[in-house]
Amino acid sequence: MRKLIYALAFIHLLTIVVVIFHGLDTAARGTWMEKPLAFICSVNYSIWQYGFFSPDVGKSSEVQITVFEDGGKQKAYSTLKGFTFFTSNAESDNRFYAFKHHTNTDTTFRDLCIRSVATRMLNIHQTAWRVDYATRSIRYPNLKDFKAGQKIDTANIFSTTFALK
Amino acid sequence: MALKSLLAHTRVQLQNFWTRPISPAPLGIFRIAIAAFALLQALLWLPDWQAFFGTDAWIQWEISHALNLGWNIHMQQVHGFLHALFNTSENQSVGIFFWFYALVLIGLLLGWFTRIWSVLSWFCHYIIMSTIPSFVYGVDIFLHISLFYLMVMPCNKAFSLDLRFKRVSSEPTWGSTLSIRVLQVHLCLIYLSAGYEKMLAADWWDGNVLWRSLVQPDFRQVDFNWLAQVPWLAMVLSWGTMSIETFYCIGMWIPRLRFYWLLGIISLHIGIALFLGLYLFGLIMILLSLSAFGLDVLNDLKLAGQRKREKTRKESFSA
Repeated sequence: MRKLIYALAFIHLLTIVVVIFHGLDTAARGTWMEKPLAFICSVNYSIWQYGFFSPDVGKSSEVQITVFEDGGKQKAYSTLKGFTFFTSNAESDNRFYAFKHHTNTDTTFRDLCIRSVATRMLNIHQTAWRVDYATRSIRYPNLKDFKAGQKIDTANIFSTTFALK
Repeated sequence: MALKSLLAHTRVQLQNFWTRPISPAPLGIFRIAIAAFALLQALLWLPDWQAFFGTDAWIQWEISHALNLGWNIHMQQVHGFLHALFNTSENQSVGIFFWFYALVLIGLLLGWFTRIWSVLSWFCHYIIMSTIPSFVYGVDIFLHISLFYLMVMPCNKAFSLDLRFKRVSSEPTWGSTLSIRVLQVHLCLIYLSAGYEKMLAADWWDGNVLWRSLVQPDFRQVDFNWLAQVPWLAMVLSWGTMSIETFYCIGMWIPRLRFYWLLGIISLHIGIALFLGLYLFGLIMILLSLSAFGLDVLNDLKLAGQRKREKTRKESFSA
């Protein structure tokens, strides 16, 4: 029993080493290993690349949701102007950074999730009939260029409209 | 001959490292720290719980369920179970799940019938992770890893009601040694990976990633635009971050360095918490390092104090 437990611990640590040094990046994709590894990952996240986010730390984006209501009323929510998705604290708001990252990079995920967000906005605004959802990337220049006066670069990532009428 | 004796010496050292029984106290500290942390996170989540997990959440059940892998257990299935038993509505099921999660975390914190509570804590967190995959970030990953370890490690052998009621012994065993070593080595690998990946990005070497993360609107807590006037400071901070993370796996094993390295990693995570607003992420990383190496650092400090006192006594005696 003792030997088995030591062997399991060793395999666990070895898996982590192989993953963090990208040993399974391409080897497992599309093979029989894919599902077992995904299962292990959902159990203990040993198949997780802790450094994967390192180059992305400085990336940022703005979400703007515009709600159109009956009587010509229009309300715009922008994350740059303090919109925190109606969360009650910073910890809940931080979760939307992960959400924005997913929607900016995965188009299937985006199509499904933005629809869901629009539905929630329609539920919050009972008389609303249209929701516009737009995301813009915000790229700060590097230190040298910022000092030289270069402006912050923004670009549309995507925008979509949901209308009931 | 010399090589043979070196190999034999290394083998003995390795055997000692992995098997010589050491105090299970770090495991008790780990259990209390993680259970208290998860409780704090849950309480902060409570006002927004339905907005994340309810049937009309930001990502509705149909969509989050569709994004799941076959073996994931979703809140919709929890509702199906509770509805069949107690005829609860969707939002009632989500509320019951929250209080059940809080209850099992209290059981884990107290360490009473610890194994049961640790398995349930991990299972509840597994459902949380499966229900909101799009809102999961670093803090949840590290909490899940910790809850998995608490489920399989003998974390009730110190500071627990199980120990007080003599359900377990506090005797150091190979099991407690293996558990502590796995936790320590895993942390070293985490930081090695994080530091090494940073070193591969040119923008980390010239301080640009650190600068952008401080000024970008998602994380910005205070105005750091002034940093562009002193680019060398951003570079020094970047290099410091990469060094502390990459060489954590060395610094934490050298008794003379361990205290300073722990201080370095705590400072780094306090910085992340204060200046990037990632308070819970910073906190869990500090708690993990304290659980894994805190007792070693305390022993190092005690030993250093003892040596200093002995030295002073000898000097005053010879004088």
